[in-house]
Amino acid sequence: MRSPGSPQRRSFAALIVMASLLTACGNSSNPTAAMTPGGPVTPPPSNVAKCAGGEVDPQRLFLQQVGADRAIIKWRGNKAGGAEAMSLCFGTDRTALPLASQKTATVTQTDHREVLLTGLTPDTLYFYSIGGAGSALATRSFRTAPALGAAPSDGNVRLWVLGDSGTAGSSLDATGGMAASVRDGYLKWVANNGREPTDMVLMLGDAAYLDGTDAQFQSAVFDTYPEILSAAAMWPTIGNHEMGSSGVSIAPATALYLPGTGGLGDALPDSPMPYLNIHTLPTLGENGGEPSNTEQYYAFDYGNVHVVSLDSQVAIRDAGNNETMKQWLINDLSANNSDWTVVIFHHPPYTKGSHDSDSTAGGVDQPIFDIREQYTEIFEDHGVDVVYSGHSHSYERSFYLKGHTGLEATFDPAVHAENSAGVPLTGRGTQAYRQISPNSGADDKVVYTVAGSSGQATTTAESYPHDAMAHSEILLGSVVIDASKTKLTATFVNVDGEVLDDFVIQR
Amino acid sequence: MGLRWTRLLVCLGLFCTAAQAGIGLPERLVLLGERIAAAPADQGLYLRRALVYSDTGEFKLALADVDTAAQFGEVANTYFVRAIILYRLGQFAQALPLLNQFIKANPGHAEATMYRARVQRDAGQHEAALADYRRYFSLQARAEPGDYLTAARLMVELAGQGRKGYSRHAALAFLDARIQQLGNAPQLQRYAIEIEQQGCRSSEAVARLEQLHANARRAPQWHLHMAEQQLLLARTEAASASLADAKRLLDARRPSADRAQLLHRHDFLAALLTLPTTAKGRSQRTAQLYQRFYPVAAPGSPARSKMRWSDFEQADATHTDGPEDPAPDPHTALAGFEQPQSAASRYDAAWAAPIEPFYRCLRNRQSGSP
Repeated sequence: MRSPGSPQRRSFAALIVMASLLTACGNSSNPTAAMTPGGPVTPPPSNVAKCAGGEVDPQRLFLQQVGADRAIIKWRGNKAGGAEAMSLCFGTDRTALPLASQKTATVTQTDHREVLLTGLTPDTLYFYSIGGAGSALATRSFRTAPALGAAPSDGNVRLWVLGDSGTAGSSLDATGGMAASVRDGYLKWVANNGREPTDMVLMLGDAAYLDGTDAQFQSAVFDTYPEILSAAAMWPTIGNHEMGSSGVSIAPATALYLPGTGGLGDALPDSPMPYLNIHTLPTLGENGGEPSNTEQYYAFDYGNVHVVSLDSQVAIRDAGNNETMKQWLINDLSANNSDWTVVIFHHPPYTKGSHDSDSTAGGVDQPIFDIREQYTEIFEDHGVDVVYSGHSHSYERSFYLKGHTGLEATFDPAVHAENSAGVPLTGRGTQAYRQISPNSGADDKVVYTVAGSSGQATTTAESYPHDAMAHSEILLGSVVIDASKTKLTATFVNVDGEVLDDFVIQR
Repeated sequence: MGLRWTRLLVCLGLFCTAAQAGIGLPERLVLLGERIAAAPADQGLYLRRALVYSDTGEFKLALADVDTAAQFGEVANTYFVRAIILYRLGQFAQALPLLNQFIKANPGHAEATMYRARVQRDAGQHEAALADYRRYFSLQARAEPGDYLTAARLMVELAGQGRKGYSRHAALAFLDARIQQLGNAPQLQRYAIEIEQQGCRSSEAVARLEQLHANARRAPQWHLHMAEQQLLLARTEAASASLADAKRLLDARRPSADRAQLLHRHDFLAALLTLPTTAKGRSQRTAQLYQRFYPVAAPGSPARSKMRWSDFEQADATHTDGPEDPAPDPHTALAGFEQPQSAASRYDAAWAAPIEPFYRCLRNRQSGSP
């Protein structure tokens, strides 16, 4: 795939826009409509009034909060330089988006446009046009989540997991295109493995180096994954590079966000952090789960999968807020009875990658200790299956663990890991994990994975790899989680689309 | 001294290196160093680097950068950053006057106001802390739920100390106003329920439980909580119905530590429902049941250790009823109790904590105390 900003890509985008405009403005039999990428165009029913606006190609376009009956479509800018779109049309027929579906956008923080679609049908493919065109571009579609507890019609929820991916456009991307190569590796793997679409993208923090500014998000996120983010919801967790200067403004008279390394902060009103301005995350239980009343942490359901996004840095900011998040997590997990539960946050409890979970803490790595000492037991007591973090620029996947809250030296596979005669099981082949452990008779273990090499793969700490890890790599890549009614498979895919590690949990 | 502070003090010693404090972060420090080299008189750059140093636990270097920043502009601009660093070092008395001066010069600075609230809270100056939390809420339209909870807890604490102008009622009013503002705030509502329960006001607790988000009812403990309040209100039918709902949800759960604890709580409540109707007998049997189900929480109980299922069986087999009420089957307490499948489901002393407020109210009611 060409890089998103290449001239070839821009030309292709222009072609798409032009074709769509012709489709929208002309009648349905216009032969140019057939040029629209994504397959043949069928005539719309003659008795349905179609949207008749022009297609706009925004500078950023992404989906949020895609659930069984709702979705948010969010965008900003116009690549062609004209006016920004203020409405969209949507429907289930790509070539006939009904006029009645047209929705006017709300202007939200930092000049984003967003439309909340409600009353949608579960597990259904919807198409949309930005600007109110009567037909949708091929890349502008999404599938709603299945009903609560159900698996999708294709039998599988697919989660694409990216950690510390935000190097594009930054000084860290020395060789150029590292994040794009991870993306291409994933797409190649998808193409070679049944072409199942991505249901959601989980971002493990540090999605935009070095400071998570709005401009850095543009390069590292919206220009890097445009097609994927226009078709699958992005669900992030906040990393340390998105916290600004310790999450507080040091400006004397305003609450402006100040990137730690300089650069332009976002404007008011509400949020001092670009991460919070850009995303529209569920705070009131809109997508299921316990309402959190903050975008710093939240939960949601997607069919038979429950996902929790935590803020691993909250404890170092304030003990009171940490206790509040912890109690919220317990309440959320206690109400959850999904087939699978996935938890994401930035700081991993176990790592020997570019951060060391044995390091003396007190600063940037204190959250590693906080999570391990205060949260892992909650996960294990409440049926969490897999936990994903970044922060270390590595791939480190643990055994099926319980009760390991100390330093690496205290890890005992016979005590802390699902094992056979003291030898920890790998989760592969005949050693696949069982959700209810045959050893303990309880759903009490978790696989913890560091998946922070989606934008760079850097150094290791002393005594790498961590003894609690079943597999460790210092290579670029991303993780694919496939969750059916009976099986969860997690796969680490490198830039060549090759599988370097996988494991299975059976129900 | 907690482990965290031990680490912090180690990190403040001579042997704390950047690598120990956090491998990998220095990208920012390198970049800021380059920017400072290019603009050595830029006060803001030193302040930013000071915060990054502070983030890595390098407090001496952080304070040195604040000192340098003070040489290149208004000294007053450096007060907030210095106060943050001092706060992180636990030097509340030194941080407070700096924040006072900074806020005096910048009265609309929400973050500085919040920091002063935290400094005063941690320094034990709760009344002043609460005043600053209120100011912060007026500056920041939507604060973190934990900040609202902290303010409410301070109100309850001040009320408990008998301080004039503070009451649990005022704390509840504060929480209700915030719940109204936020639309749905289960964290705040749950604390309000806790306050009601502390006062054994079961009708109010029931009303608040009803107001919780629908998601809460997917949790077995919501139904157990409701059953407890119904029991306190002597609504046995409603309590039974709530227990049945809780059991139905628990039966659908995979075995886990959380489920084991909730099943135990369910079985205790179910056993309570079987108690004799005479007041005296009920009171005595309540205490016996509690001791049997929550042995390490009861007065005069043995060491706080985990117990095996066999411990329960042994305790039940040796149990004899008091002379006032010989009727009940000695195994009633264990009837329907699901035997744990493994060692993972052993009774844990921590299981008693969630039920202690209910038990206290129940005993108060049985003894006629308010």
